[in-house]
Amino acid sequence: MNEEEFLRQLSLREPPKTLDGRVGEMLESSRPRILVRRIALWQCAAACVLCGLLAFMAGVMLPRRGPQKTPVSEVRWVLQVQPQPFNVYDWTQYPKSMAPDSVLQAANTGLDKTEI
Amino acid sequence: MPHGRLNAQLAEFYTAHRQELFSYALLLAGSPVPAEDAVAEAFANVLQTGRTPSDLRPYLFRCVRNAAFEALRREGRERKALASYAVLYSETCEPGARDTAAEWLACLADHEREWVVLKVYGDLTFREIGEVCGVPQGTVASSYWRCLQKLRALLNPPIQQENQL
Repeated sequence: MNEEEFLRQLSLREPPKTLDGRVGEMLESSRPRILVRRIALWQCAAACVLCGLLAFMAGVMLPRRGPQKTPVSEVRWVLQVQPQPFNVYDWTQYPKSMAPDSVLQAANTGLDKTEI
Repeated sequence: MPHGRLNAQLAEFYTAHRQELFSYALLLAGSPVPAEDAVAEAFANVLQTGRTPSDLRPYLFRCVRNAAFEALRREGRERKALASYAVLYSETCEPGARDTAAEWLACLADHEREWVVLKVYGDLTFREIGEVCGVPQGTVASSYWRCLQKLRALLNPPIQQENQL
């Protein structure tokens, strides 16, 4: 006797009726979900690369902001002090070497040299 | 009436292949209750996807396989703990033949037993079995024929062995 025939002639255990009921009920009651397009991983990766390139190109092509402007008062900018009236500025607190040239010029022209 | 084409297709498939799916699940799960759960879960999985797989038959067998292994894992059991492969067969079978088949199945390795059941009782091709189990079809085919040789030796023992006995 052929071995396959020997195996096939044996009757298999029947599936229980409860299984028929469960599957039948499942197929009767459930509605297929709305088809959601599945996006493959490589498509996600390609989209990420494309978006990155577009963002880079947009960054290159957009007008850049210019360099930061120099503050009105270089002294205030260097020493980080609040604006004060020029007359009451206390030059004695700071060494002369720290003062920018523009301040020194202003001082030479308009201020009393003893205050510097 | 089933809703949608997918449900109708699945209902038709279940009617045609319920026995094969259940036998396969029974082999893997070891007893009727988890086998029933595995088959039901496989259909639930396909319904959840909402689309018909390109190759429904191996896909459903693979779903049954995954569900049966998952059930075993949940219960903390191993495949080796299965008692007797006679559970596959009906009570109406001739006891001698049934015991012979169960004995032979018990002699096989886990993967060989699975492939034989898929081939003989599931009527899957070697290619489909390879898809279900994730192995090359050539491996399945060669292993299957070796298994049948073992069964042949069991059914028709060599004369030398008979003389020795």
